[in-house]
Amino acid sequence: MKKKRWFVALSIMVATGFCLSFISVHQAAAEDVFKVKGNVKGVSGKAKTISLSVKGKGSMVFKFNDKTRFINAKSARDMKKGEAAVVKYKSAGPDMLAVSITKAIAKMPGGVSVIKTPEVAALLKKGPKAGNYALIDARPAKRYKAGHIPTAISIPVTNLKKGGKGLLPAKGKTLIFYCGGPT
Amino acid sequence: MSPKSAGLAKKWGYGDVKVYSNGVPGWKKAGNYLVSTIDFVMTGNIVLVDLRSPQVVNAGHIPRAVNIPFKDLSGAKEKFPPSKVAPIVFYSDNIEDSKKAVNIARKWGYKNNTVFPFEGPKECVAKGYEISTGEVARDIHWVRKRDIGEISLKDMDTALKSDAIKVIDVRGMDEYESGHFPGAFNIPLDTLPQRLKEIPKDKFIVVHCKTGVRGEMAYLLLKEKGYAVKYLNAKCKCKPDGTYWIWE
Repeated sequence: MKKKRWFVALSIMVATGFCLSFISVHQAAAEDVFKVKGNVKGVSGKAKTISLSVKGKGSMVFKFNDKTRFINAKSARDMKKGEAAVVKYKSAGPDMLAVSITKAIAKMPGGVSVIKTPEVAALLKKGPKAGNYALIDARPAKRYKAGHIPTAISIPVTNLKKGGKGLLPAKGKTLIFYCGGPT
Repeated sequence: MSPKSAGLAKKWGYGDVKVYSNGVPGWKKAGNYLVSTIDFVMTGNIVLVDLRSPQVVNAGHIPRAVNIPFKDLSGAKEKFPPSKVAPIVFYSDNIEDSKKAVNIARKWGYKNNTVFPFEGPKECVAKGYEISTGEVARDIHWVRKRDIGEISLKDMDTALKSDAIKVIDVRGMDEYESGHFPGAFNIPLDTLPQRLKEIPKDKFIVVHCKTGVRGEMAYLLLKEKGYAVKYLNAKCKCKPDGTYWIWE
């Protein structure tokens, strides 16, 4: 008799467990994942929090954890203030938990190649004339004034958009553009 | 920014267009120096160091410059401001000295060190800038200019004593419990968007964390929501008995 009761209890437990696991799987599948794009306003590694300014929504604060995937970035450390990022998130209790955080990397326009530090340094040694290059700082003028790469000239991207091609040096030399990072 | 500009150049028919995508951070990381413009040197809120020998310096130097001859620089660390974000500009009649000086300051932890390619007092005058003569300063007096939204350390002390100002600690609950400012209220940053109702709109709000990083994020959020808010952009430590230290 005792044995039978045990068996009943056990089978009820197994059945419940099975049902529960089914429910949880079902819930996970139904859990909504949202996606937003915005500019990084700040990152705290300590609080595992990233804040994004999103058009039309304002500041959004996301938690991240060990399961959060970082794309184009090794960790939260690589997410820098002011850069664009895409966050996929779901709600976890009162929090918004980031499922993935993608650092937006600007695509190179057609026909434009990337130049690395040693090549830039080698050109700088020759100087703009002998090296036949123009190094152009695309950041706001304030940044350029505070500190720029030697031999660079300042043409902020906003000026170039408004002012047109007349702002660029004459054709026939290599144009090298740079700004505040790999975006 | 730079790919956008490069794209425009390409569109306008430029043949050889490149992007140095590592940009300024990559350049600095590789141990290279940056240069500042004469306009920045003359008007910016900077630490300006003249590395030449005192005799030459007294004959003509950039106003506000502090003279630390290059040979004395490595022993002059304590002369520099405690804030590692202070912009330091070095100049000399030998640019190699200025470049070396940038690397020395970097080793001390300073993040914004640049070189001004000084061509001599005459060139400065020719460009329309003044030059000082006579005894040059030997000590650095640099005061950080605060951004809008940052509260000064002195005002933070006042805020902690005032009833009209609400101080919100946006650190985690465990951090708060291990010691916090007297009278500070804890709302961890990640719960802030859901707990705005708890924050009075009729008081000035000051948010802080441990270093200013989370504080700034909280500040931006609250400002957007229409609060009169400032944040503490400094490091702080609080003991369970309410004693605290704030420093930069």
